[in-house]
Amino acid sequence: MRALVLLALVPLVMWLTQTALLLRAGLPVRLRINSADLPQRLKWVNRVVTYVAFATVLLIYPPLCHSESPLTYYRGFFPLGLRPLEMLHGAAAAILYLVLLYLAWTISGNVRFEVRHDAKRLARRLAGVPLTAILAAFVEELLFRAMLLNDLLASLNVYLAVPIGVVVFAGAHYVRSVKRYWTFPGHLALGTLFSLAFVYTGALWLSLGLHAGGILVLMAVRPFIRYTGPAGLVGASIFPYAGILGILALILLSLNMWLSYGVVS
Amino acid sequence: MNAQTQTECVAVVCDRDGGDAPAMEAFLTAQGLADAEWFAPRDVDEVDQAVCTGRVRRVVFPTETQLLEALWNNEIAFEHWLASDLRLEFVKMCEPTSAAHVEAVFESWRRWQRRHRRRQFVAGIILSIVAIVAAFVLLLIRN
Repeated sequence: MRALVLLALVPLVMWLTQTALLLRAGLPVRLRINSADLPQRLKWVNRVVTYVAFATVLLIYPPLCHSESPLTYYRGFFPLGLRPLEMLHGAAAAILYLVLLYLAWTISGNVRFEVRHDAKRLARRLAGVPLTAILAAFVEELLFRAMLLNDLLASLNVYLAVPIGVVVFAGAHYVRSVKRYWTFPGHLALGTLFSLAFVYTGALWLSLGLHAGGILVLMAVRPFIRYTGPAGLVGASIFPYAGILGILALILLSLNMWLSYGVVS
Repeated sequence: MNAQTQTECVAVVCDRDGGDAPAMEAFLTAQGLADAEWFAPRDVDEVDQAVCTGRVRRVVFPTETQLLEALWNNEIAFEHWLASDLRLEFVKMCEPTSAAHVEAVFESWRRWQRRHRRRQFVAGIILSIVAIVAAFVLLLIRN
């Protein structure tokens, strides 16, 4: 439960930072975390403070709650031998599911492809995709699985720990003001997939692969795609998994992971 | 911003660096619309939002081609545009009753279809290759 408390401090730090920056910029204070109208330089400060807050939580949790160094604690979730192959397995599975969804929507006319940026900007965006995918997935898996879910599993049974971990993971994507809130069930399904992958394997390789593979496809496809179908059915923007069919795909992928790793023969 | 521009915000759908920009600028100057807000053709959906929310009451296109492209792409809810008291203008346009007008619409539609088919084909091929490679890796690991 201590991980939950530590994580809850992050939005508080975000809000306090935002409040200080709003006051500095002479703007009215607000309850919602939304830096949209802050000047660019202060927006940057806000972002850096947020990253530092997450990094601090990650770094202080192991010594505070397990009397271990961060390196020793987190290394325990990356067993070696053949286990790293789980990451490749997860990534391939996530990529296959997402690409099949996109193919189905291409055939059914629910998406349209067009290059949305000039060549230079496009090349810059695409070049950063693999690293961003791995880094983003790595940080989120450390935070929500290695730290939060593992901590919850230590004090609660799996049937309570997983739903709490999933809700916190999904909710964390809505702490800041966002454009779409209807994507919440999609984040719940996504959190369930990653959490089950972690519970089944007791390591981060599989969930990291699933997460990074997903981000990789979403970000690589994003500059080329426009959704023309109903959002509730096929999703929108970087949320193809948030439509009904996307959620169904996530449930089936979770079932695949259960069959591969969860069923003890 | 004065009271008049607040009530009649003008949107221009034209690439600032494109070939139509000089004619558009001349048109805007002649009409006294120097404060008009410029949108790149790929951001026409933002113009649509502005029209639907009533923020924009006048839209200027370089030619009818850009509007037709947006229509074929389903980027604008044209029924809302028609229902509103929107003023739609073109810097250059064929005579609406002439055969040249029909030909322009047909040519725009044909060009759009050709481009659309080509893009869907390329996207389909790339996605299929990625799917095949991912399936191969999956089966390889499980074996």
